[in-house]
Formats: sequence, structure tokens, C-alpha cells
Amino acid sequence: MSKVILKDLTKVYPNGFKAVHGHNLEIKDGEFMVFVGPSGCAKSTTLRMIAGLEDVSGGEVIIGDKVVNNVAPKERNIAMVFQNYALYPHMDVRENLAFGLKLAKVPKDEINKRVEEAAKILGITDLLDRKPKAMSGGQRQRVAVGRAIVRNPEVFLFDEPLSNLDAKLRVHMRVEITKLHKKLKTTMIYVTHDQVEAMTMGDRICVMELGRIKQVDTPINLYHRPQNKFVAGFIGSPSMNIVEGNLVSENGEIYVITSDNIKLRLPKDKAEKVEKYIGKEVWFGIRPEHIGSLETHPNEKDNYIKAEVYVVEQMGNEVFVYFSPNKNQYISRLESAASVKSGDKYDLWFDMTKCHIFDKETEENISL
Amino acid sequence: MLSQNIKNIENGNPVLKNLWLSVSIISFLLFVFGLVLLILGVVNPNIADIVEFMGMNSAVIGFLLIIIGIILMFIGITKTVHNMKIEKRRLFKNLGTAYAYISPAIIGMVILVFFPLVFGVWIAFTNYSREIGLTHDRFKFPTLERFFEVFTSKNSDFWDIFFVNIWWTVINIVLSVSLGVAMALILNREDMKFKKLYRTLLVLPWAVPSYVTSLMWRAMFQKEFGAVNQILSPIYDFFGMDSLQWLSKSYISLGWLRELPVLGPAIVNIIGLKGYLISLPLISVIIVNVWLGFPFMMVVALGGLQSISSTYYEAADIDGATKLQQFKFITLPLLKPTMIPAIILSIIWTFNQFNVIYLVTTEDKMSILVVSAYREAFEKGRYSYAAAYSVIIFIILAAYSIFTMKISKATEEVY
Repeated sequence: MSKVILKDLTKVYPNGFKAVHGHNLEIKDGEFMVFVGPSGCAKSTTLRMIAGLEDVSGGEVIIGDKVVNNVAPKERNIAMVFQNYALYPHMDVRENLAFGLKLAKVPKDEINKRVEEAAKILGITDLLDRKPKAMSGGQRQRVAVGRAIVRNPEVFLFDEPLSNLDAKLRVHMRVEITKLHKKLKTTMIYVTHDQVEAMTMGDRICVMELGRIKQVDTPINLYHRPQNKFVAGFIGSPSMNIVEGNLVSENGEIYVITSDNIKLRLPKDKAEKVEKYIGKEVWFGIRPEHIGSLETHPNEKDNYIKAEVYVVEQMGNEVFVYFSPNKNQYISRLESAASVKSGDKYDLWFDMTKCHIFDKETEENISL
Repeated sequence: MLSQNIKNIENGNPVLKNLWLSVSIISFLLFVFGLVLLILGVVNPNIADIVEFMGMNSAVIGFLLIIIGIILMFIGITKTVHNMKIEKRRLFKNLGTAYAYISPAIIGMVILVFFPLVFGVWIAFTNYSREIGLTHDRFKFPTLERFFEVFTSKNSDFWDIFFVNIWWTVINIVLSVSLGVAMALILNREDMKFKKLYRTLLVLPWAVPSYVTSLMWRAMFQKEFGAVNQILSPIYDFFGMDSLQWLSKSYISLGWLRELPVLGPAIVNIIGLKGYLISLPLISVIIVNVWLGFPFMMVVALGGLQSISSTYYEAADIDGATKLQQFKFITLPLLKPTMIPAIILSIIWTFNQFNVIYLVTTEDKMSILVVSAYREAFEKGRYSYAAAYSVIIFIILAAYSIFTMKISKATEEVY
């Protein structure tokens, strides 16, 4: 087990494209760190630089106490699970698991012991003599994880390992990998584009966009205290409603007037923080669950609108309601009991204590 | 109404029901009879005169009968299928149309493949030659003499050439596969510049017709003026030696080796024709054939290499495999399923590589079985001997094909 530190890590491709703009990140010993972001955010590139599969253009990768920029992958004491599993198709499961150990000239008894052990942990003992093509996606995934386990690495690297599985299996394997982390207590770095995976699995999550780290924090903090507009919009499903607006001051209160003329009053604590921005353009963000039905909040005097609902998505345990009072589109998440149909005029209430205001230019959250 | 009646009769009457089946069978017999007439008409002008009809000789009649036979067979089979019970008919639903589409090919095959094949096998069991024609008093059929002659006669060089043929095939395949795979590995490097240019240049030898290449190489191997000796002349001068006679002279006689009991002749045969340690004609034709053969192997190997996912190499990198180990444990096993069918095919092509041997070398300096068969037939006029020779080559290759088909079924399981 060891920690992993990235210092001013950059990656520039030969064609001049700068993929990674100086990552600074410390992954603690035994931590489950998730890299998440949309495609092209360089999360995989960063992982591959930690693995040694990509050259480092600048900065340092430190595993344990050692700078490993110029150390071969096999000497970094890492193991990697690939998106397409990369199981050697001509070898059976046992040979696949043993391959690395065989190359390292580990004694035969020791290899057998470690292979059996890993197979037992993952429940693939009865698959040991099968070839990869004779297994299902989920089984291959387990074998790929098994190949990482037998190496007994200090750091596990996962490169979107679940994206080739069907939805149900993905949820199952998600839990399995989390369990594995609890059991092995090894440092794990996990790359995914799926924010649900990130939220459910990570001790901490590193959100990236276009080669820059946008925020590193625990799942709960990312959700409730996003530092910028990108993180706010990326984390959470359905994603946060974010619209343009202006801050105005009237009668000692501060109001947000959205670009479609909804006037919303900010509560005292938020108002204090954004005072400097009065008269300026900002981004206004509010999560779907913080737009409620006025029926369930009958005592509210303001911050509600009447709008025509144009789509209702019934999820069973909840309802997603799409409405568009003027030009902007909003989505609200209501209890499934809410009696709302598409085409209805409906009263919706904005819980402004939970809203976020972002700087128009820097997109930083100014209401935290 | 009338056709309805006929249908009723056909359905009710077992004799009529089988009418079309009988037509198919009779037309098949007609087809066979036509084939016999065609063969006889071609081989024996006398018979051609005997069976004469409306000014046509038997070959023409035979050809017509074959075509009529095929057409009637086609109609007969279609009708028979039509009369079958519905559930059976479903199996043959589009059979009639299918036969219609392939009938030109069938006619072509009959004239160009089946007829020569049957004729050739027939000749192998005669003593037909330039001297003894098909109508000669001493013409014999059937006889196995030619086969005995091929295998046991003192004048026969069958075994010599058979060993040379195998040796020639093995060395060609080994060289062209190694060279092809090596080139493919180089071309597959990501950091390689002008890849497309090199690939095009390397494929060129394959694109040129092999007889053109053969004749060019023959000219290049010419002793006094050939390009090969011109280029090598500084080396000859340095060592003060005569220029090599690539196509005619062989070096270091192994006559003494041939005297060794049991193994001697075999060793001599494997090393080169006529017992020379370095058989320059053999080396020359191998150079030409590898030149012709490696681009195919390279193209196949390149395709195979490109289908190997790069993540296997990344996984192997993390597993700690060196480049050499990656080649041995990943590239080679994953290349095998692509290369084996190409190698199986290439073995047959090389075993029967007529153009290169016949066009590059002069008589009896270097030969393989097909070339010998050709020379026996068309240079010496020993038709039946050459036919027997060809039948034996056919049997060898047929046996090899059956053998490899079983093997390749096994290799399908590699992935």
C-alpha cells in the first residue's frame, strides 16, 4: 500500500495538443479515489501516466516515496484493469492470472497459491480452465480484476472497468469492487465517466474537465458544495438547473432575476456572500429536488411560480417534471404522489436556501 | 382447366408422379453419354468419324448432349421438387432458380475441369505417347505399367524430384513466412515514417505477374551480362574467382555421399538435385520464389498484427513482459490463426509453382514434380507417363488437403 502524488503533472502530445494542464493531487494510502469527467477530460490519460503507459511531459508522478516518471510499468508495483478486460484470448483463466507471476519467475507453488486465492476471493474457481471467449462479460471482468489481485500491487488502477457491462451487472460489480476495496484496503484509482459510479464508490472524487481538475472532495461535498458551475452541473442526476440571471437589490433584499424573468429572493446567508455582485450577471443554479410543489409547502409567501408542465416522467418512487415558464427549461423532482399531468398549470416553489450562485466569468461558486 | 387435370393425374398416379424423376435420371445418363462421346471424339479421330450424325462428329454431338442433359436435368429436378410434399419442398424451394444461376459455371467446369481430369486419369492407364497414338496397334488400355515405371524404373527421377520438391516447399515457406512477418512487424511500428510508401513498394513483387518476374530474374542471373553477376563482380575480383553460373552450374559434387548406405541418397536428394552440395539453380529459384511469395505473407501478417488489440501489449507491459516476451507470448499466438490458412494455401501453391521453376531454370538443372510432368509430356512426348506422374501429384496434394482440413478445423478453436 502506498500513496500516490501528482505534482504539476502535464501531458502534451507530439502534435502539440495539451491534454493535461498541471494536475496537483494527493491520493492517500488505502484511499478509493475516483477520476470522473466527460469524455476528453484526460481522466484516462492521467491514469495511464500513473500506470506508465503514457510518457509524462512535465511534473512528477510519485508512488510511495519514489518519483516513477521514468520507471517501467512493471516496476511501479501497480496493477491495472482495462475497460475491454484485455484478457489474453489464447490463454485460459489460470494462465491469464499467472502470466505476470510467471514472467517474474515466482516459484510454481507460490503462483498456484496466489491464483487459487484470488479465484476464491472473486468466486471464479470453477472458471479457471476456461478461455476468455467462453465466459460472459461479468465473468471476464472478474478475471481481469483477479489478474490485478494476484500481483499483490500497492495501487490498483481501474480504467472504466464496468462500461462494457449491462446496467444490472454494472450495479452488481460496483458493489463487488467496493467490497474488494474494504477487504484489501489497498489504494485504488478508478476512472469512470459515470457520475453514479463515482458517487457510490469513491472515498473521494476528482472531477476533471478538459485536462483540468475542477474539484477534489468527498461525494457528499461535491453534491452539496460544488465549487464551480461545471461540478454543479456534472454531479447529480437529473443535473442541476443552471440559468443566466442578474442580481438586484430591492428594499434591502437581494433578488435573482433569471433571464426569463423569474424573480427569486435570496435568503440572508446567501445574500451576504453575493453582495459584491449586485447589478452583475451571474449563473443561477438549483437542483431539481429543490424545486418543490407549492402544495407541500403551503406557508411559503414568495419564490414560487405558476408554469405549464410539458413533460412528466414517472419513475415510480419519484416524478420528474419538466416545465418552461418562458424560454429556459427547468426540471423538478417531486414525490411520486404529486398529482401532476403534462399540460397542467402547476405551482412550483424554489427552495432558495439550497440554491447556488456562480460568477458569470470564472464560473466559481460565490454563494458557498 | 387442362393443367388442373394434368396436376390431378400427376398427384393421383404414382407412375406419372415419378415421371419427372425419371426424366432427371435419364437426362443424367444422357449427360454421361455426352461426356463419353466428347472424350472419345477428342482423343480418337476414328471414333469421331464412326459416330456421325447430320455432319457433326462425336465430339460436337457429345457437347450438345451434355448441354441438353444439363437442361433436362434442371427441368426434371425442378419438377420433382415441385411434386414433393410441401414440407419436403421447403428444403428445396429455390433450388430450380439456383440451378439456373449456376448452370453456366457447371458447363464451364465440365469442359475445362472435369473433362481434362477424367481424360488425364484415363491416359495414365494407357501407354499413349508421341510414338504410340490412340489408334496404334500397340496401344494398351488399361495398364498399370506407367505407375510402376514412375515409382520403380531406373530412368525415373520421381523420388529425386519428390524430395527436392518437399525441400523446395519447406525452405520457401520458412523463408517467405519469416521475411513476411519480419517486414510486417517493421511496417506495423507506430513511429514508422512513409509507411504507406514502403508498404506499396513491398507489395509490388506480388502485383507483377509471376512469369514476367521469372523471365526478368532469368535475365538477371545470366552469367556474363546478368545484373546479379555485374553487382557481385567486385566480390569475385576481390577473391579472384570466376563469376558464378547461377542457372547451370552446381558446386561441390556429393557423388561420394550418394554411396553411403541407406541415408546417403536421401541426404543428397534433400540438399539438391543431382547430388551437389550447393545447387546454384536451386538457390536461384528459391530467391525468385521468395521474392514472389513474401509480399503475400507480409500482407496477411500485417492484417493479423493490426487486429491484435494494443491493450494486450499494455496489459503485458504491466505484467512485466519484455518486448521479446511480448512477441513470443502475445504476437505469435495471436498471429497464428491468421497465418495458418495462408501457410496451408501457400504450401500448395509452392509445391506446384510451375512458372518460376520452368521459366528460370534450364532443363534438368532444377525441377519439381509438375515441371517434370510437363517436360515429360510436351518435350519428350511421353503422354501416359506424364499423366501417371500428374495423377500421383494429384493424390499427394489431395491427401495433404484432407490432412490440413482436419488440422485447420482444430486451429479454428485458437480464439
